Amino acid sequence: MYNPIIIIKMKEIKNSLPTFFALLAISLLSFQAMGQEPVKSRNSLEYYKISEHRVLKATLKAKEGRNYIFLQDFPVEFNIVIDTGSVSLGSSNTNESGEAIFEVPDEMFRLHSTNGVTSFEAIFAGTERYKPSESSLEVKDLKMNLSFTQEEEEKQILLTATELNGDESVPISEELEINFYVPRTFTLFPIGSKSLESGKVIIPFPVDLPGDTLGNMEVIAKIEGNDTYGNVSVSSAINWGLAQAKIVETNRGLGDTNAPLWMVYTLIVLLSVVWFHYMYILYSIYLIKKESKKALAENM
Amino acid sequence: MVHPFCNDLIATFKIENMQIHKQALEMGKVEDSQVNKEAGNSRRNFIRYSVAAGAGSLLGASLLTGKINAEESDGEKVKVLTTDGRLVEVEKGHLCCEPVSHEVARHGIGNKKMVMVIDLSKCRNARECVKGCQKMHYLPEDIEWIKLFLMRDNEDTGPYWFPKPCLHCNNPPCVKVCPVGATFKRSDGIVLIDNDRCIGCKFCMAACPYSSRVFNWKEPKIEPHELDKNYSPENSTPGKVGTVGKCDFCPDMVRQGKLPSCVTSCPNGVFYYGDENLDTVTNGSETLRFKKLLNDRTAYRFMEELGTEPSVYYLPPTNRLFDYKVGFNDISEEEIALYKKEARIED
Amino acid sequence: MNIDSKTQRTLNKFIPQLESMSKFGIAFLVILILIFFAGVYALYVQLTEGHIVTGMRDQVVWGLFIVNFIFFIGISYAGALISGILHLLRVPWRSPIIRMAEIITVVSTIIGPTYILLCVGRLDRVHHLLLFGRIQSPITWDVIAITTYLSGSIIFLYLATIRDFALLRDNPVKVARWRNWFYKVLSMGYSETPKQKEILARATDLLSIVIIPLAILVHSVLAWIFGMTLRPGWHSTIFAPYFVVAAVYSGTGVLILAMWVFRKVYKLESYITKIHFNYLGYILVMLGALYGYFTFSEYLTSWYGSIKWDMEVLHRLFDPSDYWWWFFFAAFIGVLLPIIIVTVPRFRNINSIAFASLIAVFALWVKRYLIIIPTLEAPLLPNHDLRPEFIHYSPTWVEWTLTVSGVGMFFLMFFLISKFIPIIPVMKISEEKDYNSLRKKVKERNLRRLMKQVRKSDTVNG
Repeated sequence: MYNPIIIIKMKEIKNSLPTFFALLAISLLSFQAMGQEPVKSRNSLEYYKISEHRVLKATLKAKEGRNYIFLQDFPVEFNIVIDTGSVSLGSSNTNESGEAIFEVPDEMFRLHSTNGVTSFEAIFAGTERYKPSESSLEVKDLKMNLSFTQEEEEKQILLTATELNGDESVPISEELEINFYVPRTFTLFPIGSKSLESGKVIIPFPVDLPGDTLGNMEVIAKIEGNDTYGNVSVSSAINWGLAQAKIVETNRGLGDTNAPLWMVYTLIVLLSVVWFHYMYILYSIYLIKKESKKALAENM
Repeated sequence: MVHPFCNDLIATFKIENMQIHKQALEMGKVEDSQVNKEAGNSRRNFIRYSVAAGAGSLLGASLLTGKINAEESDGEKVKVLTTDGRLVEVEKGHLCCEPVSHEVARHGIGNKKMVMVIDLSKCRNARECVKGCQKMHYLPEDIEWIKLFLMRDNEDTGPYWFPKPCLHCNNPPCVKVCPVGATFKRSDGIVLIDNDRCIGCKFCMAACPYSSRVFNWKEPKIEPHELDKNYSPENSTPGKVGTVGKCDFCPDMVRQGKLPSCVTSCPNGVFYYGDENLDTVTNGSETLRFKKLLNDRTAYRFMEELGTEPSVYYLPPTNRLFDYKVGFNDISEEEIALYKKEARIED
Repeated sequence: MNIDSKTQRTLNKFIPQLESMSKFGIAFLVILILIFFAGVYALYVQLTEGHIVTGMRDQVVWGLFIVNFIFFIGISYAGALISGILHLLRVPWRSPIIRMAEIITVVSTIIGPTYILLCVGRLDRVHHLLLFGRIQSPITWDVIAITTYLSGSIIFLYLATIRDFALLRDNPVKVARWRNWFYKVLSMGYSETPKQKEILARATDLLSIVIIPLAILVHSVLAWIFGMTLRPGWHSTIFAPYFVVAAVYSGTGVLILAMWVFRKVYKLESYITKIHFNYLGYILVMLGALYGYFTFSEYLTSWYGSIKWDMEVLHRLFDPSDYWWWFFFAAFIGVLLPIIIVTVPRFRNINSIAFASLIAVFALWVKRYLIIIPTLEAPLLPNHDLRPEFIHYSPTWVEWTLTVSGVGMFFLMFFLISKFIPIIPVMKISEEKDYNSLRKKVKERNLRRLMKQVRKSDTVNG
């Protein structure tokens, strides 16, 4: 016989074991965390101008062991730097790729840029585990315009690029490389690239590419990773693409939900012939029954 | 300067595209007349999408998937900059998508016709596609939806590695024989399985000449908390015991504008995936014209003579980047022996 | 119903069969019930643990269950075709054997489809066949055809038994009296009036006309499950007639075996005579030759065509380390041995014909195995799976238990039915003259014919 008190005690110990181990693990972990030096974090800031939207992207990563990992769910402050200090724009959390995306409000941009040039900075305040880091960049605002022209039979894409000079906008003088794309399901399909000549570039329109069912096709022009202007892109659409044939869902066939009609008819005919006979035979059995009553009545 | 005409066009195009997408979500097909009817849609939607639209195609908006209806979203939003530099806004928590319903999954996405091109000259049996696919679909290690074969057409020709997903035939033998319509062919070319309808008769497995189908012989061991998505025929996850599974061409990823795991995890860019109607395929790093690629490289479809009309094209294993023996590096002796036996390779 | 003394005598002979059970019979029943429960246990294991407990895997997706399914649907031909055709042709010696043939049909058409259910991964969803049924699928054809066929076979058996039900109604059994109530209900007040006789004869004629094409269709549809796929060894245009012939062959075999068993057990020597064995033996030989012809034609064409995948299957069948000995048994012994036994007069007797039938039936089961398994083991693509069970099929104890259990069920149901109705149509048999005189008559007729020929050839020569 066991002593009931001992049994209860055993039970208590059993129940508390997981808690005990959990506490131990937590204390060990926190001890380890305290004991470790904070890791250096890396912060890189990129600027995107997408049509009229100005977007800042700060990527946070840190070296853990041998590899860099992206830091997810950490806040990054975005500021505009002016002569007298910095103006806070707001903050954004990093996503699973370590990227904090922030769209610069229009009025802030207009207020704090001089001659189209703006300085941005991204600040990561750091945590116990990761050291703070910051990065900054200076971009000049560039305005691109994408349009389509047709000369004789030739369809063309026309891109103009201007920047602010004082109060007026002037064509870009630099020979910037412009990449042209057509967006497809997963990626952008490159259709050509050419350098700006006095703020203007013309490339032929890819007339052999399919658009949607109405022939609508979007074209994107991009300046990528430029030191002065950052990443600038602009898009425009026109119905010059090849119109896709519209897919019509078939609804009768061997591979469809509904069977071909001949199959349905054959089945109905075959089944009705057989089951009609069955019914007739069952009716005959009924007749036999009926006949027996008649015979009985006659015998009486 | 923008020509006012062009501006208008952009606007209509945006709305149309958006509508097409919405329609595709709801109906699984596109009706142009309806698109135009609804073109004067709520301004709110337009503004919401215009961020994305400005960045590039509204296809970007396809990040919003399934049940995320523009009308209903009041939750917290997160901006996402896609890898190709387009800006889209999605609801937080829906970054990994709520799948479409069984009914919607029975119809194709928009006017798409999905195709795959597999470049045999670049494959070296790295098996990353197999692992990537297994990870994405929570498959146990012994279930492979992409299989890797060592092929050798006859004793004098060179062996080559041959990755084989489901070929998504346009004349699918499996669909024809299914007694309950659990496996079906969609207008976008994808052959899917509804694991909630499948009765497990395995007739489709006997009918498939490409050994593409696998059976869930036992209950798949997945803890519910491991799953980040609910079941839909579009994600085929999790598998269900007593039913048939196979490569699904990842239509859930297509809806998000993302490439399937086999394409992105391949270290050599063997897999190209895309929409035949847009005439482009991509392996993530390069985007090519589909028909031109088929023509230039004399692509072929596997066992074309069977009349199954696969949606998967192979580029012949000419000028291979790797010796086939490279593929033996990471596999066991036993496996090598089996491969050699099947390919009739003598030491 | 007034019956003559001869009918009464015959009935008296069969009453013990219905009323009592020998010790041997009870032991047999207990064993069969035990076998049935072994099957229930195997099914329980399969349902709870999934199909992983079977030997079926991704390549060989169909195993013993489908083999048994085809086998049982095959032997169901005994009733439909044999008794249907014999009835239509008014073959005089058919009477004592048609009931057995019809019972075989009903019982095996009930057992066969249960194997399809065992093969289904989700038994809880079988109703989807009704909810979402697709007419394009050969499985749907099968479901429709077998249901129709089973209904027809039950009606056919019932029509041929009404008269005996009436007889038993008027001569009630003395044990298990509840049965008399069934006899009364099932006899439908039949009392052999001329009108009733006429209606019954017409209905039987009609049904035997309907059931013959239906039976052919059922087995063709079954063959098309395989014929419609792109698999070597299956994708063949002669598959439907091949299956039909193989089915009648095995059906005749089982009928002969049933005759042999019941003749021994119920002492029916005076009803089931050598003449029945001989005539059915001739039918068996004819069907065996046809089956051999189809087999030869099937493999010869695929060998001449020598398509890579067809050759893959042929290699397996002709490889001594693989299936050769089984194939030799199924395609050579199973055809030639019955033919030799029946055609050589010296070998021909009741026991040897029964033995020939046993060989034929077993060979046909093996043949079904060789149709299903080697084809599935030879996929069009290479199979380099590391797990041997994914390359080579070997049935597990669950499949074997369920197979034995199905055969046991067949015996059990046959046994129980034979306790409920006389195994030989009493009314019908009493109408006919005894067989010795019949035999004499046949001999005389043959002699007359022979004489005629002799005379004819004489006149020609002369």
